Amino acid sequence: MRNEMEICFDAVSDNESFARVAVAAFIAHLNPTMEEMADIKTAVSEAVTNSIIHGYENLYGYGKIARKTVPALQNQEHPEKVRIHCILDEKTLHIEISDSGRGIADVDQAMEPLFTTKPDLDRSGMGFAFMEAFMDTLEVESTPGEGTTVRMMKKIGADTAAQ
Amino acid sequence: MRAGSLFCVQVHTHAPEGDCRRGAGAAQIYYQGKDVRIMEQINGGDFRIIDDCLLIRLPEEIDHHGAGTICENADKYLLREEVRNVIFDFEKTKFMDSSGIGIIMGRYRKIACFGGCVYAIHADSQIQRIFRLSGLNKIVEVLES
Repeated sequence: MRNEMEICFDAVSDNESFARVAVAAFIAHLNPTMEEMADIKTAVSEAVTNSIIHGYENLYGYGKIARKTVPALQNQEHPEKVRIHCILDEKTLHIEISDSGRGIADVDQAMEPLFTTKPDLDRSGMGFAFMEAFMDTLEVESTPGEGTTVRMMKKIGADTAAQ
Repeated sequence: MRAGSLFCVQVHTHAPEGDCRRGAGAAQIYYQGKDVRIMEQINGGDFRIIDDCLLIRLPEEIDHHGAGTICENADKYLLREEVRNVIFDFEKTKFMDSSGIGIIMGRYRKIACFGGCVYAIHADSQIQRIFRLSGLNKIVEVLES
């Protein structure tokens, strides 16, 4: 069976939990294991968080400090959007998470574990490493100034099928 | 270490490998008649001061959205209460992404230079997996309970 869904939402940190729960609900009928579910939720959370804080540099919601130092964001409507496109092909989930933010100049460097451009925000630099570890494939396409697209794939029920 | 710091004595005692009593004991001791000061509640979690430890009971979901508030509050208590060690309690936590790693690494950097340690209790298999993946298990002692 093939199934497809697409959601588009404001690039604000409030939507991080919405995004991962939405993807989790989309695949729930396949009865994924707890681990598979956690893997997918973590990977989605990483990609969406990256889009929000790096792609759009929207630090709104990042504690009191950001709210104080970026007053312009206080009452701003959020024109920036993050788009999630999921295709479920039998038991294979393809996820595409894209933004039209600032993009990544050096994708290889960004994907290095522990590399972060925002250490002051206590970011660990493990985002891409987690996506890579938790999903079967990871592909990052980015054009500086135009945006970033992250494509991930994961087979659900791969562990049980092998047994 | 201050006198009567039973909790920390317990935590610092390095029991032989495979002795699971230490973690279980540590987890119990703080609930047993110690001077526990509940400082602040944050969406489902809270901050507690027990002797020279800051116990952070983390919320159900740890992502970037809530990470800022946790970091700010933790740093406030690290400074104000002059605590030495930080314990992260994952009892309620069902979800954590790399933002959680950032919270722990950031606090570790702040206390490590004064000889403090970071501990994790009630970390389930998924959270321990994230610790291993990020290499955090080298700086955080996971106490089994």
